[in-house]
Amino acid sequence: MEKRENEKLEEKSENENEKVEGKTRVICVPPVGRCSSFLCSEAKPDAEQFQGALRELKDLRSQLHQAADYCENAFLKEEKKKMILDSTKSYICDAIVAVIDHLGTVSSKLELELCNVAKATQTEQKMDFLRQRLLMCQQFAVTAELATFRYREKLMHHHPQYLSDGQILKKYDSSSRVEEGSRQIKDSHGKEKFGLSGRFQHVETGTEHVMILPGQHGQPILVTPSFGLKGTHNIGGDDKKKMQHNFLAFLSKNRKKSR
Amino acid sequence: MARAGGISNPVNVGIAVQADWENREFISNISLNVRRLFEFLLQFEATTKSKLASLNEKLDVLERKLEVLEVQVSSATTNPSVFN
Repeated sequence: MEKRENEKLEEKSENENEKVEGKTRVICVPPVGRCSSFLCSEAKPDAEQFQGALRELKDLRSQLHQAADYCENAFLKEEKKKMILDSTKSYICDAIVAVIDHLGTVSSKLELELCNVAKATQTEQKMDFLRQRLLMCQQFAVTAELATFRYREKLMHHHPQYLSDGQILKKYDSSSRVEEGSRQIKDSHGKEKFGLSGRFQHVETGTEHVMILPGQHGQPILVTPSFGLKGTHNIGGDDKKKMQHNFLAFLSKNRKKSR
Repeated sequence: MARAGGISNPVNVGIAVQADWENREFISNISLNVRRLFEFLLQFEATTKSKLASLNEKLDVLERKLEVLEVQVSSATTNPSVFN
């Protein structure tokens, strides 16, 4: 298509030249071809169109240089300079129009190339999807690991010392049993040891059962059910001996009463 | 004849001056348009530079993300306990 246009332009210029040839020698300058990249834009891809437009612009530059040299030489050599000047003026106008046309096509093609960044956005989206998948796999692995970590055959016991005041005392086995609602402690032989007033709580510490009893001055006392006074511990108490003495006296009184 | 020649000289001079002024006007128009063309080219160059720089930055970010993903996938395939 470009060749056909150039041929047409050449024919026109040749006709014009033939008319003037009779009088003076005419500037035999090749005509300035218009950019024909728009006609072939649908067939070629964008990159090739831009390259083609750039190549045409470079060819136009070389063509204009040649035309300028020719015009200068003709003006210097010929006698009728006015005719040469007029033809040069017309050629300059056409050349400027052609240059603007070519520059416009090149800039438009380049801008299309820069705006067409769909591939970059697509790759960005694909990478985001991959990252999401990896995160999901990671979360799944973490949850699966947590499930194995949480499951236990032996459930943890809730210690009654952390219970509120309204809790009822639980029943225990024969080694150390306390009836519900009662405030009497029985040993392994089933005999009543002493009656207690006030509140007391039961604590499990491993295999041994320990009881917390209210002390004399409101300080709690930790006692083993064996009542051998071996495992007596004062909780928060400074004067151990005093507390032990008080407890001994208390026990002796109860024994006397029971007898 | 001499008077006719004398009259024609200023006429010729006037015509020549007028032609010269037309040529100058033509040249000034051409130069003005060429300068406008040059300004357009400068502006176009600045915009394309900025667009290319932003595109380059985007591509760099994408490349880094891709590298991180590659490392993560390779580590996951070779050593699954990484996720635990």
